[in-house]
Amino acid sequence: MWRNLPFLVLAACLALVPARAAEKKLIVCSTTQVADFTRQVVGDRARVACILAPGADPHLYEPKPGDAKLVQQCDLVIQNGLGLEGKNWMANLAQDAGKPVVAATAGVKPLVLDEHGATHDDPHAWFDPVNAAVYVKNILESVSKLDPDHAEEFAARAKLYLQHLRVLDAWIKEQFNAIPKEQRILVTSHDAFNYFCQAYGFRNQAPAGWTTEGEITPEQRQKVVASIASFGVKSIFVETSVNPKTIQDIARDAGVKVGGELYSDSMGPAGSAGEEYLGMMRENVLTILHALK
Amino acid sequence: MRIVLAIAIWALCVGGVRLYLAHRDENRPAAPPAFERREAPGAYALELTTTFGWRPQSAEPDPFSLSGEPEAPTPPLRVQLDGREILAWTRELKPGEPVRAADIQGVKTGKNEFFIRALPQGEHAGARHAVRVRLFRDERPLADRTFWTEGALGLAETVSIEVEPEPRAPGEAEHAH
Ligand SMILES: [Zn+2]
Repeated sequence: MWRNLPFLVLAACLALVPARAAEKKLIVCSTTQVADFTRQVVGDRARVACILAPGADPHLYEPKPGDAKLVQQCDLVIQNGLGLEGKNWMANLAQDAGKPVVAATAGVKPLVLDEHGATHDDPHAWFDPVNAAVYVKNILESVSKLDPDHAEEFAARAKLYLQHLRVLDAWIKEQFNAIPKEQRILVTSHDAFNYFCQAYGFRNQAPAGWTTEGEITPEQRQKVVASIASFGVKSIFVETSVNPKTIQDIARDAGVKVGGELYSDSMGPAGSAGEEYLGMMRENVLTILHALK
Repeated sequence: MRIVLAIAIWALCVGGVRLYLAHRDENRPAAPPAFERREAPGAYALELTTTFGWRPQSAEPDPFSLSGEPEAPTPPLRVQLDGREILAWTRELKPGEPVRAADIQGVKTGKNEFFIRALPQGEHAGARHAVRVRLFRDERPLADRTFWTEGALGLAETVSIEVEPEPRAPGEAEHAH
């Protein structure tokens, strides 16, 4: 009997521990960007889980059994919205689990893309820091409703982060001032950079259109090769969440360099400069600057 | 028998820890009395003079602001004392023309920390601008300092001003340092 005593005491002590941890709310986010913004607002007051791993593609993602289990346990789901989560996978997971779901892009003025006669809202809104501020304010509103006791603290964090975004935006404008306006052409794998291009005066060319679904046709590829030649583009870019092969082939055909890899639909892995939004934007800007200047 | 003993030990552990958590704060010494600061006699006014201008009609909504309505512009000048807002300028601001917050309540003897936020916007954003801050006691200058804005962040500065219990004789104003 007595040899069991230490285990019994240990079990009793452990029984006390979850009572404290369970007080923290669990927020599940679809993409790495949304998860980062949410962490910036809630700090250590809530647990934030992200469904997509760094480098994963939100357009083509197929939920795994573990995702449904995670969403079952959560208190709030935050997604990007505007159709980024292909086939609505995040909202469907939330609906199946009966959990509230918030779109971080609510209120963003979407850019409308015209593709083969069909129009879509462009979901890659986070690439303009002004829109990133909208994400942060939407997240602040939803987490303050979830945990009103800490609303003041959430607002204080959000306020600080908005100042970071203000500085980031000003810094990007200052950096790109070094590239003549007519040389500001961004050729990337897929159409993720429209908001970025609009904010900083770039023209955008992407062979794959707004989503990564499907193969590009030889005509699309030829069109991009031709426009690279006509604009005198020096470098084109691959993306972290998209297979680089198309861009490498286009670079070879057009006789230009691959200027580097840009963080696009996903941020970087833990420990990389792109693991947070501010770092991801900074690295992208410096990569573009280095290649086009 | 075993199960009874197990439950007894569990109850003892849980009960003991709960009891400890509930009573551990009882024997702590009472919190020291809050540091008392006396209201300083006199009428106080703060004057700010900027090298940049601002017009409410042409002000764009500030996307990076959390204050107020989502479409409301951010005031170009804001001052806080002890966490209370004592000035939020929303009217036209002209370069070189002082803006005044009169009859400031809550100035205490000793050090008073004013938090000054100046945000040049529109055509003035990003450029270096100066903000002159003057505190008056009974219309006599008590402090006079000048600060420079820093890029996109504008100016966010704390100004500590010492207020003595009795007003100084005229001509003894504290100078910038
Ligand atoms: Zn995309």
